[in-house]
Amino acid sequence: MGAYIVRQLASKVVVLLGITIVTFILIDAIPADPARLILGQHASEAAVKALRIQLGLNLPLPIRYLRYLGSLLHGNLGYSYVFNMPVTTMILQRMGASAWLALGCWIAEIIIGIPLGIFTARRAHGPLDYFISALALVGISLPVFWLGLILLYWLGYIHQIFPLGGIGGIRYLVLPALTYGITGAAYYQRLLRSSMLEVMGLDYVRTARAKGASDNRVVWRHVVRNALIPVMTYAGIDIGYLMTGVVLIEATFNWNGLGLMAYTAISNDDVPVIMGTVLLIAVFVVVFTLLVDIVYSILDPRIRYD
Amino acid sequence: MVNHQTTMSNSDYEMARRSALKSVLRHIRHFPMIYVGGLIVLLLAIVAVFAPLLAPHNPNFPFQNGLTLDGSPKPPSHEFPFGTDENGRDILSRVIYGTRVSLTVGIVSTIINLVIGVLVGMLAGYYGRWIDSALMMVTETILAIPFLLFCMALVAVLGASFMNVLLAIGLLGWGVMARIVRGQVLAIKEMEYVQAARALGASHLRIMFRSILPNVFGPVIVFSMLNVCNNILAEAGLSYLGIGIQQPTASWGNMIQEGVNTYQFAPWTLWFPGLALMIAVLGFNLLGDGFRDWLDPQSRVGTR
Repeated sequence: MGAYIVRQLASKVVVLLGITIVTFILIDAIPADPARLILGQHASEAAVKALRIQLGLNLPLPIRYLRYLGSLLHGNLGYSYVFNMPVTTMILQRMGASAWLALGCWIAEIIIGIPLGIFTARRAHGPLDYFISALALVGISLPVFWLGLILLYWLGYIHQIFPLGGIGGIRYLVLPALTYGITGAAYYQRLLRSSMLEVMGLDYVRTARAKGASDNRVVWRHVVRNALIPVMTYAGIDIGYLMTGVVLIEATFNWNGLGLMAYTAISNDDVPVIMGTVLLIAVFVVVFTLLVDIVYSILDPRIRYD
Repeated sequence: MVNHQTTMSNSDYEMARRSALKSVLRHIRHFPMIYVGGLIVLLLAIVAVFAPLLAPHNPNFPFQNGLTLDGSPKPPSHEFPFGTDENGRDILSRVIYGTRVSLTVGIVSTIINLVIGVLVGMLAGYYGRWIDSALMMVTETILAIPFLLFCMALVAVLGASFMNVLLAIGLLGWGVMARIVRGQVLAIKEMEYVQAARALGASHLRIMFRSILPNVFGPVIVFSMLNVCNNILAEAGLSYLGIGIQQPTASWGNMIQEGVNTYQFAPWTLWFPGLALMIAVLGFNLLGDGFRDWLDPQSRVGTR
């Protein structure tokens, strides 16, 4: 177990390094000149040139990359060209908003998906199962931003039950969470349904039935608890992705989180902000996946990583 | 396989082929998802190919009578069956032309994903050792950066155009495919018939592409269908954010983006492009699920 974690950590470090290289090369290819961006359209050519030297933009690519990596190790993600503030500060300001949204979306998915998964597994191959599974397929096929706009129109504009976007408490969270829940719940439903069907065929379930346990007891005590393990793995990776900001949801509901920040930065050619957010998001995803792996192996003692 | 021609006469061979085809068709009958999905995709393909014949109006022409007196979009009517947008353009015609964009980007970018993913997965799985480690590191790096954000950044670099959206999605979306292929190859390369091919002195290339590849085909086809769904939604998402297909070219995504300005008093500007998008994605999802059930009757409904 310990060796497994160390090996995983080492490979994750390489992946993180790879991510810094990819983002650096990508950003370097953006045609806009940062010095011109900072000084504005009317600055003199000489001033722009001086700033380019000051920023180190005239150095060769590998050297600039190493300088960038060095400042990263000091926890410095650079300054935003547009907002003229440290990228770290900007990210910290918006992390709470994205986390709050992520939690809402995640809970909505689970509240809708898990009961439907149990329900369809217990009625497998019956008409209700087919009906709900078909609905789930439609749910997966819905474009998340479009569903969000439809809900905004229906519940925000026509009936005025919920606000038309913006960040806030539960009332503001309901529509974006519901939107994401409807499109994402189907994955939970399908995963739990197939996992339960698999567990139901196992010997120990037959033993439980043979000793006369009621159907409810077998399902809830024996089947669901074991069938939930793969669902929990998926849920762990899922929240990791959600935490990093759902760009389309944030843009649709004008939710000022990390996703919207990255999107705005891309439209503004605000290079340090793009790099900072992409990097942070990727780190988050990598670390979360590793954590889920480890928790998974603790939850399910049958799994051994050797 | 190789000896068919020598042991069977041509007509025998033809008959065997025909009955094989028949049994495939008989078999497929039990999978209605393939039929429904196939029908949807076929219809969309027809709409895309014959767009100029099917569209009642020029999709990019702002009609004078396409706006009400106070300059807002007109609701669905006999002349404009899906209504008009904020520029007085016919939404039905734009939805019809948008089919071309969505299908082309979705399918062509998936083919690019497919080629890269199969190559990377095949080489990694077949050769193992450091080649495997190196290729999987690259794959993991690609997968760690959220797909849509990655595409947005690449399109920003290349410039927003039809071709660049297609390229960005094609070049960045192969990660999961590579993983799936690698897993399959790892299992298959230990099988006896592959060992036999090796013992007979077949070259690496021949083993990879003649012995292993045909047996990876099933999962690859299933995943390709889901991949088309992801890519259609990615294009729509990019266009919705204004970083994808640019006006006046009609794409379902940028039509929805435009609809945001008018949906409160003209909701039809939002309805139709979104419905079209949903139906297209549903079609490919049905095909993917149908193929999966067909290839693997053991697991009736699979996972992500």
